[in-house]
Order: sequence, then structure tokens, then C-alpha cells
Amino acid sequence: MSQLVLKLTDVNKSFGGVVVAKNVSCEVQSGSIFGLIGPNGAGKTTLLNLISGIYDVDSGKIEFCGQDITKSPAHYRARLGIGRTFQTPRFLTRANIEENLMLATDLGDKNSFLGSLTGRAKELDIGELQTLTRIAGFSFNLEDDISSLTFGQQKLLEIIRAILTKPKLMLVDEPAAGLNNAEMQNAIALLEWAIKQRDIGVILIEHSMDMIMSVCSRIMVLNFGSVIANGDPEEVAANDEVIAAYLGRDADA
Amino acid sequence: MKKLTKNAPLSYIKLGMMLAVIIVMAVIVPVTSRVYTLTVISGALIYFVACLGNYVILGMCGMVSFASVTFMGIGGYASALLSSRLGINSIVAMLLSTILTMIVALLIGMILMRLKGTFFTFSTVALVQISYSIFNSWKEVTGGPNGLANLPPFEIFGISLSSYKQSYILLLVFCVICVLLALKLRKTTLGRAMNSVRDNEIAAKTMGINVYWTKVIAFAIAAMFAGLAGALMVHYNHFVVSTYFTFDISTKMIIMTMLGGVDNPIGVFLGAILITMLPEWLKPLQEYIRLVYGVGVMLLMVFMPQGIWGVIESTEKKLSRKFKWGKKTVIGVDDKNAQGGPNVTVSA
Repeated sequence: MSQLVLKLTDVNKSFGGVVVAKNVSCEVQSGSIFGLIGPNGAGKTTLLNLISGIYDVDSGKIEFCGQDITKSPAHYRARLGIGRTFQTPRFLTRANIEENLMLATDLGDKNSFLGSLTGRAKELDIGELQTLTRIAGFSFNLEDDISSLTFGQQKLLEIIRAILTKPKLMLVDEPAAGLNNAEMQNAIALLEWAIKQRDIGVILIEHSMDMIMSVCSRIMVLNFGSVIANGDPEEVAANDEVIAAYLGRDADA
Repeated sequence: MKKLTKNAPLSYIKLGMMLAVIIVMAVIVPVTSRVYTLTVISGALIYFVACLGNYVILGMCGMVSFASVTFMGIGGYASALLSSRLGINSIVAMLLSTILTMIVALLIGMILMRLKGTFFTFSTVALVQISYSIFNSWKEVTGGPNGLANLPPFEIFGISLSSYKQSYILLLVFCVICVLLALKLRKTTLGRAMNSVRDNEIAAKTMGINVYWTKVIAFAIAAMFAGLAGALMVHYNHFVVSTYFTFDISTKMIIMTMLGGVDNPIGVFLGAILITMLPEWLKPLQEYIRLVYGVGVMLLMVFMPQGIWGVIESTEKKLSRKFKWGKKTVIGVDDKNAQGGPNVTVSA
């Protein structure tokens, strides 16, 4: 029962003279993982920033669940249900883990200011957090500082935080970078839990081809801001242009 | 599933310390102090209320604002005029002027918060200069350098609190209410939103937080504390003059906040008391006092950037790690219960 969560139509963006997105169009279905790959500087993270509203598009249209969000500010898109993780985790460094996660549940459960002021400070739903943390395969104390976690654990916790915001679409930027093999498997497990249990659509940027090929149902390849391939993993892997972009072309080809 | 908690001995020590401070401030100080000491400490309490505004905007939201004296001025003059010219009860006038200050701050904040970081800070410096010249020159309303005298004292249910001791107790009550408000704010969604704006604006946006409005509201809440402090000051002194609201006072309040510890209202309290009492304790030093003061501030920034409360907190963390004190809610895989269902264990 997958449905269309995100539709990009001819999205363009340039910084000065550098074109970082050129007529990008794609569709993302719920309950599946959409891979976004390409060489360094291809404009993958920029595309995520355009979708999550951190940058504005120059032209083109972004639709989320049928709603035009091209001009909406980033926080509004987050409230609609676009979750996000970053290449380097972004947390509140001067707050403990509990407060960091409660920020996500505030959004996910739509906690109001008055409710939190008058009622007892709403506690974190530990049950769901337990499940997710078990899948992620590590443990922590809620009261500890965020800096007590390793880099890999912070990246996994960021995915958990994104899931706790109850998104319909999750933008995951290089979850495996800096993770060891076991942690990478756990990251995959988390993403699969999200698509199966929650029917979340996931856009995944990753350089690890193993991960991309094993989890994605569709893959889009970017190079210098333009789409050079978009299709099944098999199609993309066989595409000449993709191979050329990654490996370089023969001089006489 | 049960969530077990166990408090550390330290949290009882902290609670005890807070109770001790309240008892000392509420009973011992008013009984034993001379009138002069009492007025000095009252001054500290008034500045403390304004510094709570700095705690909100600087400590929680991460924006350096010098504007607290501007809003003290607005709150102070508003309350003075409401009570002396319209004859409104002084407590009611104080509350009205606090609300008025908040509205003014909301409007000013909507303009200033379009500026980022340092530019915002400079704009608040400009705001202090503008407001000072208005307070100083608009003689028909503010009395200018001569001030407004013979203002009504605090008055509750028809009883006028004219003695210093009575006023002092009332100040203390307001301080406690303000501290509780500030502490509560931190536990609300708004408090977490402010913290996220302070630590990482982009992360805040992706968590659905409207960064601009969070900052504007933080600015307005800071102004609310400042406005109340201004009104308290006016009715405590029965007098108001433009020199109460100069840039010097603003810097002094920033130092109070930073010295005590910008992350905690109790720290701010320590800062306000220390900065007010130091000139009294250091009187024998005479003209060298400013030198001592300046060097002290520099040393503070080098050795304890998080203030006195920061030092207390980090010591507490070290101790609780060493003695395994404190509440621990373990989430995720736990070696002993790896096969069990969802569980929360507590090590204490």
C-alpha cells in the first residue's frame, strides 16, 4: 500500500555560477528506500537541503503528499512530516540525551507549550525508544551528556531521533560514514524497521554500494547536479553513464 | 513497565543548600542586618530579577542582549506613572507595566531578531543608548535627570509596606516566584526549543521549531523579567531617575549573570549577590577596587567560562561518576537482561 510522498518537478538551484541541481525530477513512495548516489560534489546533500527547506529552490516544484511546499519554511516542512539526519550529527551539545530526544517527541506528539507548562512535564515514551535502541544495538543512560556517545552511536541516535518525530518522509544523509560494519548493519535494520513498521518513505544518501544495492528499491544517480540515471538497482548498475561517472571513461570510448 | 528512580545524595545536598539560602535570606538577613545592608541586598534582589531575563535570552537562547536596562526603564517608568498619576495600586501598576514591557519587547524583538548574532548584540547596545537619551530628555514624562520623586510604596490589600524590612520580604517573594517560573520554563516545549536554537539552529529547524519566533518570544520573556525588576526598583526606592538605566548597569548585569553561571537561575542569584556585595566587602581597597574588579572578570572568563554554577555542576558530575550517584535510566541493550523484554534498569 505505498503512496506517493514526495514529488520533485524540474528543480533547479545554483550558487553563483555553480549549478548544484539541474532539472531534477523524481518521485518517492512511502514504505520504500530511495537511494541517492553520485560522486563527491554531485549535489546530493544540496538536494536534501532543498527538500527539507534549508535552501530555497531557484525554480521548480516540490510536492509533499500532494501539497505544494516549494515556498514553505523548513520548520513548517518538518511539522508536515519531513524528518532529517545529517552527515555530521547535529545535537544540542549542552543538553542531555533525554532533552535531545524530547525535542523530537515534542514534534512527533505535537506537545503544546501550555500543556507542558501546566501539566507535569511530559515524560519520554520509553517503550518505543527501547525498541528502536535495541535495533540500533547500543545502550545509553538518558541522563548522560550527548558527548558520552561515540560518533557512530550519535549517528544511530540521530536516525532514532528522526523516527521519533513521526515523519512520513525521512532524509538520511550518509548514515554509514564513520560507522563500523556492525553499526552499519544496525543502521540498515533501523531504516528497514522505519519503512516496514511505519510506512515511512526514506531518501538515503550513501557511498557504501553494498548498503545501497541491498536496501534500495529505486536509485537515482546525480552528477554535477543533473540526473544521469533513475531506476531499479539492476538498471542503474548496468547504466554506462553511471559507470563512467564513477570510474571515468576510456579516452577512446 | 516501571520506571525506577533514585536520587543522588547530591540532589538532597543541593535541595538543602537551596532551603538554607531561602531561610538565611528570609529570616536571618532581615532580623540581624542593619538598614544599610538590607537596602544593599534588596538592590541585589532587584538586579537578580532582571538578570533572570539575561538567563532566558543568553543562557537558554544563546543571544547576547544588553537591552535589559531598556526594559527595566520602560517597566519602571510605566509603573511609576501609572501609580502616581492615575493612582493605581502599586502592585497592580507593576503587573500592568510588566505586561506593557513585554508587548513593547515583542515589537522591538520582531525587528531586532532579523539580525544575526553579533549584529543583534550591537543593535541592543544602540537600543540602550536610545532609551537612555529618551529617559533623560523627555522631561515632561520621565522627569529627566531630576527624576520622579515621592512615588507610592508597595501596597497589598490596602496595607502600605513602608518599612525596609516589609519591602524586602515582598522582594523576596517576587524573587522566588520568578525563579520558579524560570526553572519551569526550561522544562517546557518552549524551553527546549530555545535550547535547540542556542545549540544548533539547523537541527532546530528540522525539529519543526520556528527559530525566528522562538528568539522573539525569548526576548519578550527576558524583557518581562527586566520590566518587573524595573517596577520593583521604582517602588522600592520611591524614586526613579534616568541614571538608573545606563549602559554601565547593563554591563554589570551581564557580568552578574556570567559570574554566577548562565545556565542556572541559582547561579545567577549567586552572581547578583556577589557583584553587589563585593564593593562593600572590598571597601578598604578604596580606589583600587575597579582594578580588582576588572582583573577578576578577566580571570573569571579564562578559568570558569560557565561561572560559579558551572564549577559546581562539573564537580558534581565528577563525583557522581566516581561514586555512581544519580538517576540512571538505561535504554537499549543491557548485558544482564539482553534476552528480556523492554526494561529499564537503575544503577544507583
